[in-house]
Amino acid sequence: MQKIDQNFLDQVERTRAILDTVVDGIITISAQGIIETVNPAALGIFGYTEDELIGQNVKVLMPEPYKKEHDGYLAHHIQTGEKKVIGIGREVEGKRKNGQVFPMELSVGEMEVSGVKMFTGIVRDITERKFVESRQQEVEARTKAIIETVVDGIITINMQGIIETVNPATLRIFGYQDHEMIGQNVKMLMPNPYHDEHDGYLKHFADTGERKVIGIGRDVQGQRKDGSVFSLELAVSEMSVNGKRMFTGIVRDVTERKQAEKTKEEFISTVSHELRTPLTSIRGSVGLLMGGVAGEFSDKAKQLLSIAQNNTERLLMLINDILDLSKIEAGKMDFNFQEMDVQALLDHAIEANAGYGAEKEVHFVVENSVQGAAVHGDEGRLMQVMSNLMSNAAKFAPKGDSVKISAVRHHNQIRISVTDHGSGIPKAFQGTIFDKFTQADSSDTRQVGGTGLGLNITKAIVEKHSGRISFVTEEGVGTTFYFDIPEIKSHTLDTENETVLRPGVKKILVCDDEPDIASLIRLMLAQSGFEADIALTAEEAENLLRTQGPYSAMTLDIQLPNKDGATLYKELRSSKVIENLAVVFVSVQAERVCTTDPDIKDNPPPWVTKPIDENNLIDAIELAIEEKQGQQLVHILHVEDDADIRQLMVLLMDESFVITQAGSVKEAEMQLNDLQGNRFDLVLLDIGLPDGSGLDLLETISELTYPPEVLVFSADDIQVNEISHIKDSLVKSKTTNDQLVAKIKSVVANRKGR
Amino acid sequence: MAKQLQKILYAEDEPDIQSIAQMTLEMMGGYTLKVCNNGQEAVDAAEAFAPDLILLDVMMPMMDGPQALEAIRKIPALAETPVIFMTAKVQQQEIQGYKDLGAIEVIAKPFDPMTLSETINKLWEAAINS
Repeated sequence: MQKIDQNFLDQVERTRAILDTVVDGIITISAQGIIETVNPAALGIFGYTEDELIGQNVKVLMPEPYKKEHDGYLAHHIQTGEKKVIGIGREVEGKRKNGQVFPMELSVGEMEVSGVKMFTGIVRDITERKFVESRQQEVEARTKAIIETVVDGIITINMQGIIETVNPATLRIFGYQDHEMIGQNVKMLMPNPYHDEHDGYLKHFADTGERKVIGIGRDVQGQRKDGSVFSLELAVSEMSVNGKRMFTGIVRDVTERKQAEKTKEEFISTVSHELRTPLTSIRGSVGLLMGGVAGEFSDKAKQLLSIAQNNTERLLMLINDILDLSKIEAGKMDFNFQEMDVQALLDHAIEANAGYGAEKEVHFVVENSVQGAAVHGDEGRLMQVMSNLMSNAAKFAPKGDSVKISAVRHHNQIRISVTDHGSGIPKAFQGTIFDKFTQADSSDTRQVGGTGLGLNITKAIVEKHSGRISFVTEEGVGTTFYFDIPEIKSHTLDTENETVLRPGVKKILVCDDEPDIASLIRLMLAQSGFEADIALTAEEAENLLRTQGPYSAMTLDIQLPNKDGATLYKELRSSKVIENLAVVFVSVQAERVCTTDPDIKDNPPPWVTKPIDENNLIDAIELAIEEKQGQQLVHILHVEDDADIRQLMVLLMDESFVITQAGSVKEAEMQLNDLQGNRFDLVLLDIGLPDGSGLDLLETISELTYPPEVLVFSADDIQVNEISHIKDSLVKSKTTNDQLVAKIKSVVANRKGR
Repeated sequence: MAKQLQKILYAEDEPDIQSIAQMTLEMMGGYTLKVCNNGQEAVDAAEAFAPDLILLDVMMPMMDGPQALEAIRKIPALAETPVIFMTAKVQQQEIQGYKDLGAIEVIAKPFDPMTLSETINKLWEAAINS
């Protein structure tokens, strides 16, 4: 008996524990509706204490109309046994002590305890769930409204291409009813060849994951129900719904836009033609008069005719430019790309623009060229670019000056630049120089001519060549416009790791009778940022020095056919050529010649023996160049992630600086740890780098045998005295090119004086 | 002695341009011109005039330049006579279109009156010798 009691008590205890901890409220009421027990969760839900509820009618927990009806329910149920209240998961409303009405889920059970009928109510507060549900419904309704009303057609298809959903715009665009589309293959909306190719696309994607279809803004053709074909812009995206891959296609009918483009094109073409026709008469008449066909004119008349002629030419340029521009904007400018020799382009450009140069009293000179380099280009269009840049330079160059044209290799690209020593581009116009109708000064239009469209067109042409155009300018000093276009690979030297650039250092002439050794030397030089030409004999070397110079240095083999290297060296010395040319002997006999030849041994040039050690070769060349220039080269490590700023530095510094570039903390660490006995005099340091802060390098720098000076050049204003090892800092936005150069020079000069 | 360019059949509907071209081709080039106001006139005059070169505007009333070229090519004696179009419709694809019709070159309007004769002579010589 005792034992049973204990079991019974345990059971009660357990039940109580369950009731106390469940999250649902549990309430028992009598057949009259009087609350007999409540669990803590129920108290929490309704906000009452146990005392306040026990003995109360359960109606206190109900808002109207439940409250009024409840007694009736109970009576009805007891009389008829009909279960109006009892059941699972009804959604009703409850009322908290504070009067707040809330949604709840109610399950009512009926039981008999000691022959007395009772009810158990289990209540769950679903306020939050309701809130979430209503939000979801709202979002769904909104999304649905968007999809229903958007002007673009939205179609979802499955992996087999079967249409699953379409929005009303789709039906409107294609002219179908939705039941005619859903369940059909989406290729029904495509004319050939798309129609036949589509299954293949989908299969290809399913097999390989390769996206031939997916993407944004492809111009394709659609086919309406009536069979008409129209221009369509299509964006396809992939999505996963319940683990099922699907595609969403967004289609836009661009018939009207295409039509408008076509109309605009035709208009421009017609206008251009209509403008040209009277211009033909004007230009012809004035030209003939100027040409003396109708006899001689007085000076005054000539002056007037010349005004008419100049303005006719200007009007013609403007018409041509507007036509080009409209074609570019419509994406209709034709390009006939073929392999082009860079050298030939420069030669041709000089030839074609010499006349204009003469008119402006400037000379065009090729300063640097890359022999054998080729690019993919449209010759006519690149000539247009060259003419634009050259005529601009000529307009702004001082009379009698030279405008320099150069082509160099730059990171597997060919960089062609045009440099004038004009007034420079005022700061205010630098940002908009490539925009339409911008000229530095509106009065310039009259002074120097031009349409204000040239650079805009030039930029578009360069970009069509996968290139980019930019400029460096300094007021009162001059301007360099340059553009980079990719070099055709087979002609590219292996200079992928080219991080060393030597501003102002000219080419090097490699003289060696062994073609393989000559090529090897050229490769070694290229890896250190030197360009080189090859001569296989002394005669060839003399010829190149005469025609392709100036060179900064020459490597000279001793044993050469006909005339040996030592003899050539002596001739160069006596002819004074050598005053500006650093010579390095590269030969197994170099040591013998340099120590025994009576004409050489007193003042021998640097020499390197064979087999050639690359570091020795580069050291010897640098030493020789330094000796020739009568000054030590300053080695700068430029740590900067912005390629344009790196390039700017190269253009700013003269030939006495050797700049090594690093685009990240990691690259800079590599350069600093790989000095091999060389030194940096200065580190020009950016702070914000892709892989960390430039300041992280300070420790490495301070641990070097010859720690370089550190000059911070960053977007942030750094408090120099707070950080040791930093000499000074400049803020990018507040520093002019001149200030930067001056600061670098003064830091380096102070170091030397130390 | 090599054959020289002498007779040019020229069709142009714009009177001003007509007189300028005529003036420059006769005075500068010393050529003999037969000037026509449209393509039809050019076709009608072609066989009797027996030109060394035919210079055609493109847009003309009655018969335009390309149609005139087609008609002239059917005259056996003129099947090989070099034809140059002179037009203000000088978009790249248009130029290519005229060349595809069999023109040796397209001269853009406005032309330079001082160099027109020389340009035409060079083009003609190149075509004759090819």
